[in-house]
Amino acid sequence: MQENKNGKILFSTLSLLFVSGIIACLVALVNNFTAPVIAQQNKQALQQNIEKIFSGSTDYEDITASVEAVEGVNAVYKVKSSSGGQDNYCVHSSAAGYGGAVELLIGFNCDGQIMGVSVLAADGETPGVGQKIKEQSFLDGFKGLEYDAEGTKLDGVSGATVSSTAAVKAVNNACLVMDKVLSAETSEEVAE
Amino acid sequence: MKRRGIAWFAKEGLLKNNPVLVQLLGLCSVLAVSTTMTNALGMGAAATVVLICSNLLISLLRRLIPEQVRIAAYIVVISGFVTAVQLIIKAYLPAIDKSLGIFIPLIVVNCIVLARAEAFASKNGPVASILDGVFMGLGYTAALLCVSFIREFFGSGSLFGIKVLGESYPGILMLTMPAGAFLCLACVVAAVRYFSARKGDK
Amino acid sequence: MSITELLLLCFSAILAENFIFVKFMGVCPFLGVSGSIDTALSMGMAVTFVMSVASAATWTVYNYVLIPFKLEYLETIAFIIIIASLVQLIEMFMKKSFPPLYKALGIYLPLITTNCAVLGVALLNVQNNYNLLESVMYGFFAALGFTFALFVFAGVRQRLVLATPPKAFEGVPLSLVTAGLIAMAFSGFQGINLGGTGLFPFTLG
Repeated sequence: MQENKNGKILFSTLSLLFVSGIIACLVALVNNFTAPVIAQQNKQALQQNIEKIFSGSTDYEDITASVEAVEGVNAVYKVKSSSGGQDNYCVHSSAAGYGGAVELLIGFNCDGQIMGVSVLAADGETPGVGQKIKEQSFLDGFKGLEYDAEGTKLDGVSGATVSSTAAVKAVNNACLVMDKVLSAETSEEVAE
Repeated sequence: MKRRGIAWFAKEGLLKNNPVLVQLLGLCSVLAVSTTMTNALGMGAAATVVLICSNLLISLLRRLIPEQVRIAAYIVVISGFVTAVQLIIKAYLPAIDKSLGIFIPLIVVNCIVLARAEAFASKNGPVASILDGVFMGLGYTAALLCVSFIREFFGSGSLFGIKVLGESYPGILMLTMPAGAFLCLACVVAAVRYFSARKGDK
Repeated sequence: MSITELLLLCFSAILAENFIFVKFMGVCPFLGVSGSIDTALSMGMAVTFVMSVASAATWTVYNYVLIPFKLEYLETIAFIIIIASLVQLIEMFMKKSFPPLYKALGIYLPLITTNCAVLGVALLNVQNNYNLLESVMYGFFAALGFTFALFVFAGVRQRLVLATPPKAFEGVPLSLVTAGLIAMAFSGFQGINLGGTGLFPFTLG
């Protein structure tokens, strides 16, 4: 009887292992197949958005690791200027919106002025209300602004919604991180 | 086991035993992703693919999986297919992946898939199981599309993200919010019951 | 984590981002077991316990097993297996050590595996980059929010027993209407989010 029971347990375990094995192979295969496509996809999306902001320049470098972390800032990129001028910067920043994260890509020139903003994700925002932050007229309102010590210069957006407040917050955080990047660069130059 | 035609499966999945509107399974995802018809279609397709694949594999392995560990085995199979579908969506339809977000991995705990594995695929052959998966999945998709049509059309005056009622349509905001999802689903389920009861009376 | 942040997390998870009424997670058990206040509370307790433990377990596995081996894509499979075995373990442990508790909560335990709130919380913890403490706290408070919703709903439903709705609306449709009305009240809490610290960047639809 005991042996029979042990045999049953062994059989159960083996069959479960067999099923897991099949599934593991399947998932690994699919992952192998899709991983490069996903990476490519992400890169392409970023590239397109950078092109949209700095018409033309696409050569960029991820400098997130060398920048002091700021809450809500996911990544910082240094964009090489195509005309050989000074480098520009792009900050990927997010803040909690109405129904999800509002993710923005904010472009800065070397003086810390905002060159343009593009929306990476705002799918959880209410259609017709919060989704308005995707409209160019709203995004253009950020153009030309720069970092302010209090980071509150960007609050003059009319008809505020949860989504627009989130967008402003994301831009504010991006400004904060830009200030750190630029002041670090200046002190480096002084040291040289 | 008696032989059944495609018509039987179609009727069962889409109408008589519609997983959402009659069996009331998988309501979480129906409520959550029915904000737009695009979302509904994406979610429905993803769930259908998972249903077909898991039904097929479970049906093939049904003699091999011992009684005591069957639920564990089903969960492993289902979560494997869900992960595969999620990766494929991420790779080829990133926009859908972004707007459905966490609800794609949550197909794993969507009661419909497990219920079909337990109630149908574990007792029937592969061909019947595939058919069952196809039509149960279609039934789920149809219910999702139905709810999302009401929510998107009246809520924001658009279909599949395209404005059809003109820019001046103000939209019934409440329908796009969580409360609207509950109320809308309630009305659809009630309507289905009303009509099926009337049909039964005749 | 400061006290303010903790309080904010608590209010946000219970009210502004209530799992059932705002995020639609765990609706199935919600409609199934909220017939009376007693069963609602028992179910809520069981879920709270499992969700807190599951948050810790899945966080640990994700950060110490999946990340080092670059297997992040297996998170869904890993999490559901952890949750299923955890529920089984808890059930066995309770049966042996706390028979009265098992009697009260036992029948709800198997239902928890397929409660999307548990898997949802595990996935959200990863998505939001929470640390171990934040994950456990978030799991705990989200489950409290779930219990709270179940409790409120059961209270309303007990009074609905005497109501006579149109025949088509009897049962689940009526429950859904009730849930919709409560959800409307809960959407008022979302204003709290405005003052938040951006602690909850969700990507839900």
